[in-house]
Amino acid sequence: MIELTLFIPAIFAIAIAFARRNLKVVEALAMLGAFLSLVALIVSAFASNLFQEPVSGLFGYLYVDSLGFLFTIVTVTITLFVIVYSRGYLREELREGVFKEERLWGYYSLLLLFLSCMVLVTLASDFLTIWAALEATTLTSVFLISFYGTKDSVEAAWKYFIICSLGITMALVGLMILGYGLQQAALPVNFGFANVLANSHYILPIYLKLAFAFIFVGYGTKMGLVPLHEWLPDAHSQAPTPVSALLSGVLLSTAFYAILRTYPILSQSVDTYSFGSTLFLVFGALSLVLASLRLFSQGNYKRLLAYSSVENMGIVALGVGVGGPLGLFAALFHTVSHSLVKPLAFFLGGIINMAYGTKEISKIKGVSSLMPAIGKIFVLTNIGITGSIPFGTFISEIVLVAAALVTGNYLVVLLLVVFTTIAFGTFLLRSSGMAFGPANFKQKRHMPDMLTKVCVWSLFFLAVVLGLVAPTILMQLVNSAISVLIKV
Amino acid sequence: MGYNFIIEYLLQVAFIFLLAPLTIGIMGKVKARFQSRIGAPIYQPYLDIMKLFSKGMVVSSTTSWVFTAAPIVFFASVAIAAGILPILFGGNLINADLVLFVYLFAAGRFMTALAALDTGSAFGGIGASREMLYSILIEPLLFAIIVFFAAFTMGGNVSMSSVTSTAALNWPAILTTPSFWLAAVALFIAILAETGRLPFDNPATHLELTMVHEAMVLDYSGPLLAMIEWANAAKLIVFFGLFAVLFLPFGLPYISANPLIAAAIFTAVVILLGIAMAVLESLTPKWRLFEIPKILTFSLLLSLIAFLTKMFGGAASSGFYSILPFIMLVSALYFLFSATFKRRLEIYIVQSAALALIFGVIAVTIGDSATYWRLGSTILFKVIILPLLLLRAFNALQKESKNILNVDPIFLASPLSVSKSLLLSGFLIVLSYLITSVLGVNNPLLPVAFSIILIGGLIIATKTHVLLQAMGFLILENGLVLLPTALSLQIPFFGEIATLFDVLTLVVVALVLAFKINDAIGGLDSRNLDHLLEEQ
Repeated sequence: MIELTLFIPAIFAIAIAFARRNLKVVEALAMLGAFLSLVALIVSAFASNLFQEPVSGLFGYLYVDSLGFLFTIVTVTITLFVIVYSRGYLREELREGVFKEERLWGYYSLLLLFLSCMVLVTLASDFLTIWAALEATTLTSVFLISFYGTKDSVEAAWKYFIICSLGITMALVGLMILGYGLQQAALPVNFGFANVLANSHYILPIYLKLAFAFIFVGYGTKMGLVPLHEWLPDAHSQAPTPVSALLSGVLLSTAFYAILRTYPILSQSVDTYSFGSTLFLVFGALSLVLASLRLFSQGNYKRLLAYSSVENMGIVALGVGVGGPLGLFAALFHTVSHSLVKPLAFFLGGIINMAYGTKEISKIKGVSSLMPAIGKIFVLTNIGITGSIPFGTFISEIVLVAAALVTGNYLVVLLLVVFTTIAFGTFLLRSSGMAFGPANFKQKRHMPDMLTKVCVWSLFFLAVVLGLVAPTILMQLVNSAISVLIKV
Repeated sequence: MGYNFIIEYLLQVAFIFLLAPLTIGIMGKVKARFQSRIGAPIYQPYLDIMKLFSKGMVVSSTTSWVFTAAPIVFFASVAIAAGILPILFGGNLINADLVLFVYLFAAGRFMTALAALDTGSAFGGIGASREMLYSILIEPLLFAIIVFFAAFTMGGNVSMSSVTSTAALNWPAILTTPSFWLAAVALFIAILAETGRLPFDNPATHLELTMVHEAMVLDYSGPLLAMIEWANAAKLIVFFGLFAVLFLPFGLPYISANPLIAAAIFTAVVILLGIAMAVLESLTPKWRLFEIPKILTFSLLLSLIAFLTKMFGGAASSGFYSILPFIMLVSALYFLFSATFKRRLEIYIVQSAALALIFGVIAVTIGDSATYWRLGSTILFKVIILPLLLLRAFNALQKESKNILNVDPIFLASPLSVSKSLLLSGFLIVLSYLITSVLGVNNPLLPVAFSIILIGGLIIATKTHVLLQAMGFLILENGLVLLPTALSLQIPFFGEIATLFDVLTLVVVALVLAFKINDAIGGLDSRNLDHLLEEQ
């Protein structure tokens, strides 16, 4: 059953290629593909009581426990939202003649393939498959970034392609070293989670550390941690807005998942464990500090959001670095919240972009007077990204500060307090500048259609529910995911 | 201690100086045949030298004693060097080592350069400055080779006798050690540079733009010129002799015991080397002055690798098989400094073929199906399909682009000069040997695999041509594929297929992106993709 989550998007991606002449059919197929994938995931989760016992499928090649399920369901859900949002957004751009109609089927087809690859990352049962699938996500998303074919978008795509592919080969070197460690300990060289985690105690610490360092750097490139983030602001700002939402909201979390899966191999001793924590803390702190300082100088709204993604990934890494159930809870909860709020911010930015015809922050004024409801949730979402109520990011940051205080990481507390405040201030300043005041032109260019509005509002609703209510089922899921990480 | 040693010494010097004009004559003949000429008889150099000795001499009145002293010092330094090699006799009149050898020639060169400046002519100045530039580049190379030999004899001893006897003792087995070949190639390049042969200097030219050595001796005539010409010829033979005693020590058993046989063997070896050099010179143009550092840095790296392998690589010499990984590494280095796209494609094919041969050897010895699969997939994809794909894409890009100059990498200077990137890769190679020693793996393949991976990364990072960056990934991937073999790891079969598939897709994606870039900026130089940088 769980295989369907993986295969349905791929099958629909092929189906779209056959139905490419009819745009409506293409859009319907894309939405249906993502939706069925989500249904398959949920049904298979409830059919087999996933919280107690991991499910495996496809002759053992797939494996899903609560950690994998948490990331998978977020991935599939957000992709569904993105595809629905794409319909209105891209039709609008098509009307403006930004690109040719015959390229649209390729967009949806790649989007579904991209989904398939990301799902393979979170459902894979061994480290090698995770590696191959994560590399495949780069290859499938390159042409989504260069979709417009302009000089800038091609530049961003090239940079993304080169840096991420180069980074990920480092991860493969790390896996080889891990394999060598297994072999030296006279264990079967099998990269399945079960084998590696059960036997990691027999591997010499030096191999474990080297392997993890390589893997961390490799996947960290994809996760956008400073100083490996250079590609991220370009790629996220040049891609079509729905794709940016997907990259920021989901792809970064997927890369994070890949690191997180490897992390328990270090649990053999305090020494190796603190080595991993130090890596997370250093890269996390760098990302948080440098990205939040870069926020202020960004003139393009999408670049602003992209740097905020780097900052948020820094917070997530700090969460893992602080460690313990509390720190891991903060990291996981922050990932989920960020995955919901960041696409929302991109969606709203896209609507504003449609109305104003620009992404320059300084040229946008008075969104509230033009579109009252959109303008208000726009400001709310923007400050929500940096960890304010009513979103989940608030909870996770508070928990993280608490966790850091408990474990005595006072420097982390200081960094968090100072730099999230800087980020908060920047976003408040920028978004209120855009939203309030008199509109700088009278006539709106394009208004979002019904489906886009429904999409945005339901995502907003989902994010708020997560932040205010924190549903029990989610808490259960996160807690059981933490036990996956700590048990071993 | 009788006078025997002195007689032997003088005999050997005389032998080398008598052999020298003959070798030059034979080389001239070979070159003439290559140019479809009959050429001068092979004894012509003897006649030339005799003629010059019988002529009168013009010495400029502006010169000092240096002008007359220089040829004599040069001649003397070559003569001393000629005696210390173990060629006919033991050569142990003075307990010489390789360092003395290098500095004897440095002394001769120093005096020649001084004399060239002494006349005050413009040519002399230019020649001297170029000669000194070369010597700055050659000396580190010679010393790197000396360091290699210090590692070779394992006692850190570079005296002539210990080095040569070590080489001779291991003679046939030494052919299968990679470091032997690397050092031999490095020394041969050093000889070309030191003796002023093509592609460094054209000994036959008198064109002011290209002369190096000839420009320095332009003002000499008569007996002084004869001494310079003769000593120059003998210098070549002495270097051939050095090469012969180090790498082709056939005559060594007969030395002292049977000097006549040793002389015959030595003559044959030197003439063979001379013919090889003449053929090489006929096929090579003279390089521009500023290209010279590239090839010297390249051969410096060769001797560095030779040294590192000797020191840290373990003594594992399992037949010719152990040379293959070094072919891969040297191709990766050669990739950095070759010029055209097609040449680089050939290099990639050579590298992949070496990889396939490695798998072939393993497959034959172990005979497991996984290695046969690796062998097959390497030949199919990396030797045939991917190069063809790249070639077709390259031709299509050339056809599509308005300006053909924007497509071939030969017209794009890399932001990092070739010599610098070669030096950087030298650091990376040292780094890989360090990583290996941290891992504690005693397999000479491992540092090579790491080096190839790092050099692939270097290519991606420092080349700006889009197709070259894509090829950097291919080189890097060849290193990655070598890695499990180096660690003798059995990677799950599924992983191999997934990796291969990823690489193929990666190349296709890179090529499609190359076409898009060509459309967007009208060329393939990724430095022109700089608009977003300005926005930051």
